[in-house]
Amino acid sequence: MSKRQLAMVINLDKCIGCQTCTVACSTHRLNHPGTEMLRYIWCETKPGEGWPKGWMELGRKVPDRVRDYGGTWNFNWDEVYTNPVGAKYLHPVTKETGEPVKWGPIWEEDQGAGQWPNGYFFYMPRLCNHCTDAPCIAVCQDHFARGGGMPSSQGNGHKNSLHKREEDGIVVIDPSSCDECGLCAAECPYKIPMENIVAGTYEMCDFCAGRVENNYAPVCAKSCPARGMYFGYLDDKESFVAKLVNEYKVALPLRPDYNTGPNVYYIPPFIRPTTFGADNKPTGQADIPADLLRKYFGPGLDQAMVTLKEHRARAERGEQSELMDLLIIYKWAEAFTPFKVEAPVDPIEQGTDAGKGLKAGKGLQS
Amino acid sequence: MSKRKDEENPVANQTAAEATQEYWQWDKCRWGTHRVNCYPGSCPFRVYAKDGHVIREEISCTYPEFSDPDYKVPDYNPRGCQKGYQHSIAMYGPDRLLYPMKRAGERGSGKWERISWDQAYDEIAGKLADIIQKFGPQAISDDHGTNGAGVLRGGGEGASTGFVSRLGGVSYDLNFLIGDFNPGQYLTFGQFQHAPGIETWFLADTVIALSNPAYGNIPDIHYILEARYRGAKVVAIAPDKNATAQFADMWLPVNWSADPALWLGVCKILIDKGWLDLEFMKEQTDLPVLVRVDDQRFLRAADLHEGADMEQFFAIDTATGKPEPLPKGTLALPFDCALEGNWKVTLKDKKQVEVTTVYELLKKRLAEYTPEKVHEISGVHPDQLAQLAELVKPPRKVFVFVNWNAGKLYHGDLLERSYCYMLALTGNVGKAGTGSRGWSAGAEYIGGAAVVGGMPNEVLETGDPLLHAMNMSQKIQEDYRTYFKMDPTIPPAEAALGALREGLRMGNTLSPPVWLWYHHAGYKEVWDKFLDDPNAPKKISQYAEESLANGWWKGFVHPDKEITPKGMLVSGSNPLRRHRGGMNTYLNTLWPKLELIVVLDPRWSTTGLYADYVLPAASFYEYADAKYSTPATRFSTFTDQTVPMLGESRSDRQITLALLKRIQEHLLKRGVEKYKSGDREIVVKELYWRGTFGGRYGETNEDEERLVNDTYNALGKMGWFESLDGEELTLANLRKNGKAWLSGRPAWHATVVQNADIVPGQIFWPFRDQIEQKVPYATTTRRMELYLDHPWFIEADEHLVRYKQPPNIGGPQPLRLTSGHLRWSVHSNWVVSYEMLKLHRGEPFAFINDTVAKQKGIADHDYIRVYNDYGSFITRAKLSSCTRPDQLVIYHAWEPYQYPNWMPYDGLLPGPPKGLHFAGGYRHYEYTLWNWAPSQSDRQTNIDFEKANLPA
Repeated sequence: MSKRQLAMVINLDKCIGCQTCTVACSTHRLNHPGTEMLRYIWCETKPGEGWPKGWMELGRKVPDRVRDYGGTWNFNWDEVYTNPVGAKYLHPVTKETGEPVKWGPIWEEDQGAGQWPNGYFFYMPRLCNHCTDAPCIAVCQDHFARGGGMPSSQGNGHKNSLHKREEDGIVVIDPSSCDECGLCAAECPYKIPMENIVAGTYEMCDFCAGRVENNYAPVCAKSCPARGMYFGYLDDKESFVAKLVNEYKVALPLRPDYNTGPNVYYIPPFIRPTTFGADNKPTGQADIPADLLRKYFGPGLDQAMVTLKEHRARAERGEQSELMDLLIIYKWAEAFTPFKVEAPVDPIEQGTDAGKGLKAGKGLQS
Repeated sequence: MSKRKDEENPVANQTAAEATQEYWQWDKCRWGTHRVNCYPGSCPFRVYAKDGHVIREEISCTYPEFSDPDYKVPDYNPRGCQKGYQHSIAMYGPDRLLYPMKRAGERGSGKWERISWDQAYDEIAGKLADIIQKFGPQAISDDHGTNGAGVLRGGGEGASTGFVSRLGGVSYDLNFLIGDFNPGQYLTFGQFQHAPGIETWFLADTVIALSNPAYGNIPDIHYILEARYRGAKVVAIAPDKNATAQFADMWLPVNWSADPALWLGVCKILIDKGWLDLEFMKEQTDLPVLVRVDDQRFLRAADLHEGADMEQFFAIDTATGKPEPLPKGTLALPFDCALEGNWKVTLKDKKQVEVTTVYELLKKRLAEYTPEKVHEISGVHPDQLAQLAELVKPPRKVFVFVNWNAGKLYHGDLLERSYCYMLALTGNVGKAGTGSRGWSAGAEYIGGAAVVGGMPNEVLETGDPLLHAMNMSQKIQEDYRTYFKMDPTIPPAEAALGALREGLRMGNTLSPPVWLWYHHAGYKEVWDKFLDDPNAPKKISQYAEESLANGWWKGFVHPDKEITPKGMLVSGSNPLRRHRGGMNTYLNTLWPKLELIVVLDPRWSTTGLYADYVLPAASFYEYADAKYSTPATRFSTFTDQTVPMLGESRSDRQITLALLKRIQEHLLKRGVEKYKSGDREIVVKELYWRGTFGGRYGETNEDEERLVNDTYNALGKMGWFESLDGEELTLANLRKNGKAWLSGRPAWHATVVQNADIVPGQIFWPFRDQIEQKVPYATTTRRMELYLDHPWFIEADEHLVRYKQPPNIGGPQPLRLTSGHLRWSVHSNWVVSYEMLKLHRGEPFAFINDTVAKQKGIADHDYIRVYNDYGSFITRAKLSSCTRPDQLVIYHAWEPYQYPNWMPYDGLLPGPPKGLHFAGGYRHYEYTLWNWAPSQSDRQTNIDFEKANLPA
C-alpha cells in the first residue's frame, strides 16, 4: 500500500460512450512512435466481448495482437484520391496480415444484448486501475529477481520496471528497464498493459502522472463532456471520490473477485427504461439484468442500487440529497479537488518549483 | 544481463519523467474552437503549437459560472467532444488540400495538376465572366455548407454567399439544403428559431427526448442527465432503442410516424381528466378562436362586414355570449372567452352560419384516439400512455428536446405540431424549463450581411459600414411595420422575419433549393414517381405548380425555370454527399449541365473529386475568427491563428475577393460595365470596391483581422456582445479571453424571435414576452396555432393534427431506413480522419436487427446490399437487438468514397418534400431566410436488404 491513493470514479449512469476520454488521452499521450493501436483508456459498449476481445475470459493469457486487439489499421487515402472516381474506396486493412480488419477497440459500439424490444447496452470506459495489490508489480518484481529485465536508466535504485508511487498510489512502468517479457499483461486480469514494439516497452495509463505532479487533473477525466468522471485522493474525506466510494458506497470496483484492489470505481447505471411483455406492456423491470451488474461490480451492487434510487426519490420529493448533488456537480471543478481542470497555458518549465514546473526525475523515485 | 536498447529511439531509454516532459513542451498556446455546424458547439479549446506545428488541443473548461439570482443550474463546463480533440491531427491528414488543383483529365478521372493561385483566379474568373455574358448571372449558383469559414470575415457560413450574391448569382438557402427546419413548430409559433439556453433543460420536471442527444449533443446532454438527479423524468420516444433511450426513465417504442397518435392520445387524457392550464389556453393559443363550421375557416371580420379586416378574428365573450374581436396588438384579453360551445352568427350576406371554437373541434378530433386506438397505431401500450399523461400533467414543467429530424421526416410537421398541442394544453411555453427548441445563430451575421446587402455608396465612402448595417437592421424592422404593412400591431418577431424577407426578395439572389431540385436537377419527375402517398390530395408537382401560379414564391425562385445553371461554386459543402439522391439523380441530371464546378474546401470531399477546380481553404486554427454565436450558450467563441495557413491555403474571403477582382477585370476588358440580375443593376467597376467595404478591408490576413476586430467592436458598441472583463471589445480582447458574452436583443431576426433579452450570466429562455408582456406570436391569429385554416391544410385534413400513415418513399419495400448524425463526424468533417476511423469499423456501417439478420443469413460485419426502386448501396452490417426488426439505421455523413462503388445511402433517398410545404400567400406561410420552405425528407424511406456479393 502507498501512503496516499488517487482514485477515479466513473458514473456509468451518465457515460454516453462519446470517446472524448479516449481521444483526449490519445492526442495528449499516444503520439510517440509505436502507439497507433495502443490505448491507455477506451470506452466499451457492454455487454460485449470488449477489448482486447473476451478479456474477461482470457485468464493468464497475453492477448494476441491481431486476434484480440485487431492489429494495426491502415487506410488507403492516396489510392482514393489519385484514381478515377469509383475505382477505389477508403477502407481499413490489417497491417500485420493484409486482411480486412476483424476487431478493434470500439468494434461493438451500440450493439448490446437482449432481444427486441428488450435489448440494452451501457458504456464502460476502461483504463489502468492502479490497483492496491497490483499483480503486475508482483510478477515484475519476481521476473527481475530471477534475472529478467534491464538496468534502469533512472538510477533510482528500483530493481524492477513496474512500481507503485508512494505519494499517490499511481502504478507506472519505467520504459528503460522493461524487457517486454509480457508477464504484466498476462497477470493483469483487466489486460491493461500493452506492448509498444517500436519503443520496446509495455505501456499503460499512468493517471497522467506528469499532469498530476503539476496539479492538473488527468486529461480524460477533465474532458468528460457528460461530467461523469471524478478524481481525487481516497483519504481526503471531503473529496467527491471518497464520498462516493467510502461514504455512500455507490462507486464500485470492476470485478472485485479478481482481488487486485482496483482504484477505478464505477457508479452502476441505475436509471433505465423498463422491459416489455406482450403487446409492449411495460413490466416495470429495468432492462439490464441484475446478475450482469453483480458479475461486473460484485456484492456491493445491490445496496448501491438501493441507495442511488432512494436518494433520487428524495430529490423527486423535493428533499435535499447530498448524494444527488454529488452526481449533479453544480460546480463541476469541485469533482477534481485539489486538481485543476483548466487547460494549462504557459509551457511547463523544467526545474522550476511546484505548481509552475515539472519535478524533474520524479518518475520512480519515492 | 542487459539488452541493447536502440540508441536512436528516444522513447526506449526515456525515464517516465522525460516521457512526461515531452508532452508539456509547446511554444505557442492560443484559443481555438471548431467552426463546424454542430449545435450549439462553441467549445473553447486551447491549441498548442511547437515550431509552427500544432501538436495538440485541450478543452479549456473556461466558461464562467452562472450568476443568476433566481435559478441554480450546473455550470457549462467542460464543453468539448472527441472530434474537436483530434483536429490537431486531422488538419494535417492525407485528405488535406494544400494547393489549387485543376483537373487534368475528364471530370472524375482522378488526374489533377497543381496550378498557381494566379492561374486559378484567372481561369475561373474568365469562365464566370463567360457565363455572365452568355447566360446571365443567375446561371451561377452557390452551394455553401457549414464547414466553418469564420463568420466575421465572410457573412454567415461562408464568403461564397456574398461573392455569388454580389455577382447577381443564386445562393441557396442553407437551412433547406440541409433540412434543419422545425416545420411543426414553425406552423404553431410562426417561427422556429426560439432557442432556450441549454442550462434550462436541467430545470424541467419532464424531459421528452426526441432525436438522439447522446450522439448529437455531446457537450450539452449532461443537463438532461443531471435533471434526472434532481428528480426530473426523462422520456425517450423513438422507433428504435437508440443510445439516448438507454438513459431514460421511459422509452416509448413508437411505430413509424405514429407520434401524432401518441400525443393526441395524451391530449385526450388531459382533457378528459381536466389536467389543463385553462388560462394559458385562453390567452396564448387559438383554442378559443371561432371557426365557421360551413367552410372550416376562421371567422373573420371580412365575413361579417364588407371591406372589413381579413385578419381580424373572434372569440366568444362569456359575459354576453357574443363574438368579440380579439385584440391584435396584445394577448391580454379584455374579456373572458369561452372554450366550449356552439353559436350562430349572421354573415354580411345575411346568411346564418354555425361557429364553434378550435377547442371544440380539437375535442372532436381527439375522440377516436383512445388508449386502445393509440396502442393499435403506435405500438405504445395504454399503461405507458397513462404514465406519459401523468408526466405532463400541470403543474409539471415539460421540455421537449429535439434536434432536427422533423424537417427530414415527411410527416414531421404533424409530429411536432402534436407535441405542441400537449405544450399548449398544459401551459408549457415561455417559462424556464418548458417548451421546445429550434436553432438560432449569428447576431454577428449582420456585419456579414453588410457584405451581401446593397450598402449605399455614401456609407462605403465615409461612414462605418458595420455599424450602419447593424443600425439599419433595427430601422428596417420598424419600417416594415410602419410603412410596408402599415400595421402597428405586428409583433417584433414578425417584423423581423418580414423585413428580412422583403430585403432578400429585392436582392434577387436567395432561393430555397427546392426550385433547383425541381426545375434543374431532375427531382420533379423523381418525386412524382417515388412518392406514393395515398393521403396526399395532390402530387408534389401539382402543389409546386399551383404555388408558383399563385405567385406565392415571387422573388424567391432562382434560377428561373428558363435559366439553366452553368456555374457552381461549392464552399465548405459536399452536395454529392448531402443532397438526397446526390450521387444518383443530382449527379446524373445537374452535373452535366454545369460548365464550371469550383470547390473551396480544406479537404478532399467526394464533390471535389468530381469538380473542375479545387481550391484549398484554410482551416480553423489557421486564421482568427469566430464560430457563430447562439442563444443556446450565449457566448461568441473565438479561434485565434495558432499556425500560418497550411500550404497555399487561404481564407474563403481571400479567395472569393480575389476572384471578384479578376471577374471585374475580365468584364471591364470585355466592355461590360453594367448588367442586370432580375431588376437589380450590377455596376461592374464597383464590385471589388463594395466587396472590400469601400476599400477598407483588402485581401491580406492583416486586413481580415482588422475586419474581425471592427466587427466585434461594432457589436460591442451596439451592446449586442460584451467583453468578459468590461474592457472594449476588440480582437485583442478576444485573443485574451477567447470568448465574449452575448447580450441584449440584437436586431437580427434569429435573435428577435427569442422574444426575450439576454443578460450575461443569467439563464435564458424564449417566449418570455408572450407570457410576461402578452406580446402576440408571429402567426395568422397572433396566437399559438393548433388550427391551420390555410385551404391546402383543410383539404389535406391537416388543419388539425391527425395520424397519417407514412407514405411509401422510394418503393414498396417493407423496411424503413432511419438516420441521424454519426458520433464520428460533424457532417463529413473529420469523417475520414484516422483518429476517428480507428474507433469504429473503419468504414460505413448500418445497424440491423440481429434476429432478422440471422433469418437473412447475414453475420455481423458482412457487407449487405440495401435497395429500393430508386437506388441501392453497400455497407457493413452491425447486428443489434436495439434496432427494430423492420428497420435499418445508418448515420451520416459518410463520404461516398467510403462505400464500395461510391454509392452512399443518400443515393437511394429520393427526398420528396411534403406538398403542403409549398403553401404560401398567408401570414405566416411565407418564406424567408431559413424559414418555411420545402426540404428533402429522407427518414423512413422504404428499403430492403440482403447479403451483398462482395468479398469480406
